[in-house]
Amino acid sequence: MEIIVAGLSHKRSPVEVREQVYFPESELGIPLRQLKGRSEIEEAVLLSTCNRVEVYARVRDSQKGVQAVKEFLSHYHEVPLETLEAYMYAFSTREAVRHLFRVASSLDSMVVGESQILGQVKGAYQVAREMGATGLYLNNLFERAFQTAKRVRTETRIGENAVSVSYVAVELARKIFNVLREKKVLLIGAGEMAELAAQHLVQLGVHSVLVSNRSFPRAQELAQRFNGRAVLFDDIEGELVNADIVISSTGAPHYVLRRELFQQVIRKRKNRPMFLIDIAIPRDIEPDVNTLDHIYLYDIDDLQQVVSANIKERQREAKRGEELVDQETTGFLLWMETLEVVPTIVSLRERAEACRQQEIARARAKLGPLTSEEEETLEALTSAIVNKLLHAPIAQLKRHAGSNDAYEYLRIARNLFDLDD
Amino acid sequence: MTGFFLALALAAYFLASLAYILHFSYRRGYLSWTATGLVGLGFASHSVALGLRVAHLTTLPVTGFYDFFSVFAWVVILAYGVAQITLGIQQLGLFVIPISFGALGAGLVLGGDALPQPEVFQSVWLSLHIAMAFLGGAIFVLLFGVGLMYLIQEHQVKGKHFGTWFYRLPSLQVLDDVNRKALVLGFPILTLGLVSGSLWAETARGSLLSWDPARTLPLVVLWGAYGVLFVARLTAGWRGKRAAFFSVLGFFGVLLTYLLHL
Repeated sequence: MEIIVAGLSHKRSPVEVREQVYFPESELGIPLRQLKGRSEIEEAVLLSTCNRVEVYARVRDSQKGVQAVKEFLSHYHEVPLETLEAYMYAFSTREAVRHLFRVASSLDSMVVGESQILGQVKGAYQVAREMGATGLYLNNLFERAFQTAKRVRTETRIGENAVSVSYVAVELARKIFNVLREKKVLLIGAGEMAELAAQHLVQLGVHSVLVSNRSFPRAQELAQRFNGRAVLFDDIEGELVNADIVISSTGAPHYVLRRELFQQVIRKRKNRPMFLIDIAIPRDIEPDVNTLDHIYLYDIDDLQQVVSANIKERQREAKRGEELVDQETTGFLLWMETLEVVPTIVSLRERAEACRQQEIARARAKLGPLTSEEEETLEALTSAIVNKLLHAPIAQLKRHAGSNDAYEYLRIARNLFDLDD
Repeated sequence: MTGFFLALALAAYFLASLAYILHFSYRRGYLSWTATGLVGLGFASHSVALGLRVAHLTTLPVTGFYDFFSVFAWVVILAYGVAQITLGIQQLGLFVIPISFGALGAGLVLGGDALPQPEVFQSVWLSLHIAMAFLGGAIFVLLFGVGLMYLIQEHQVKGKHFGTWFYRLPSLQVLDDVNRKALVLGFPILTLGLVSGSLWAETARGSLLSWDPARTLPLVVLWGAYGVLFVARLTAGWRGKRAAFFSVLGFFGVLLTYLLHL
């Protein structure tokens, strides 16, 4: 028994190829049935997202299994096999298990640590299970994949730091203020990104939102959405004293807010810190403002820089995730082996016994009637040969049952003694 | 026996410091638990050693470098434990436990005999003076720790350096709050220590002002400095970076004055 995966993902294939083999989620039934119908494939799960199309399967022979999956994709979507083969990857056994665990844990995602993929893997498994396309092996494999994903999420901080500009702004606010409950937000200008950042802040329960805009009706409209208050553009300077977080995004061609102004503001605030986010281009706030104590000014490039730092941090955390995935992979393979060592030994014995009986029958036919003593000798002789020959392989299989290379031993044994027909 | 328990405590503080450093870099859960466990072990062992020392001297072991540093290290751990149980500040151990390790190590290296002070247990003022002085000192060590953390984190946020520190250290607000709490608690304790010391001097020597200037003057200056910080913090918005900076500076003042006062 082997586990394989074959498919294509954002890593090695462009979207032009992926879209050709995409399966809409609502239409997984027919392809799954076709897959399951192939003689090479015992169990199958079909995962199809906008970033990857993959078939996970339990097969008797990994090469034949992979070939079957490739042919299936090619036939189903009417894409030439050669085109697919140029972009497809295939793994078997340890690598296949590891691959699934990495995918479910979002270690293989375009944005490492994103949380959507786990739901997609769960969905794909659900569909396959309800259709009866999975069995003992894949059921256990996927349950363990979900466990692994959960471990990676809780034991590393892979999904913790934001990787979008508007979330980063919120996170920075929390690095400064810790909790945002009591904080007051002032929006200057009502651009889309300012709105988005304000929305995140409101979700975190900021105290109030003030909106000011050149066009007062637009300010009022936005203020209403956030349950806030619109202020006249000319009143901004007065309102700054009460604002903890300022998001500026006017279309002004020059600096709107200057250093001298903030010098006064921060004094009036008795040094209560301020977080200024300038997402306007050209910028609204004089960059020098950042040199004032208790004021933290970030422009769009700074936020972008945090995004890349966060991505790097996620990658650091991903390394820990890989370790967990390795542990879990080993755990699953051990389970698979315990499942297979005993049946392998049993079928080895059965095969030997069948051979022995066959040869005894043939010998009897040649020798004619035998005395009971001769009968006994014949039995003892053949049994002894069989047992002696089988002793070493069986002992080896048992000895390697719990080790890392057990799977190789089993595969070779089944191969050498031709146990898999 | 005392030597064994002290050595055990020293080793535990050292390994705990190491575990905090490793935890900072690798952030494995077990490293954090190991560090906490080691601090607990060190503290227990240290307490036994101090108990034996008290039984041996039949007085509080607070004179001489050896005893002074040992008790100081112990009180710092105590204050750290209370702070972590009540506030739970990430990475504080990284900044505080090495100080205890250093203090205990310095005490063991410097040695020095204790002067017999049989009056300690008889004078309420002296006992209070000693207790408040150590407690105040320990709180200022914590103040130093969070001050340093604040300066590092402020540097990250202000300068837009997004390294490991940025992710691992708490937010500026948390650090500044702890700074305020430690100051609000520490300064009255320091004051109490100073007042009880003077009162004891009065009962022991007959005069409130019969002080040795070399020993006492730096202490009054230190008290004044923390007093300025205390008042300015509460009234003039001396928060954030400035408060943190003075907290860090104050620590060296504490160290120096306490040693002169010894």
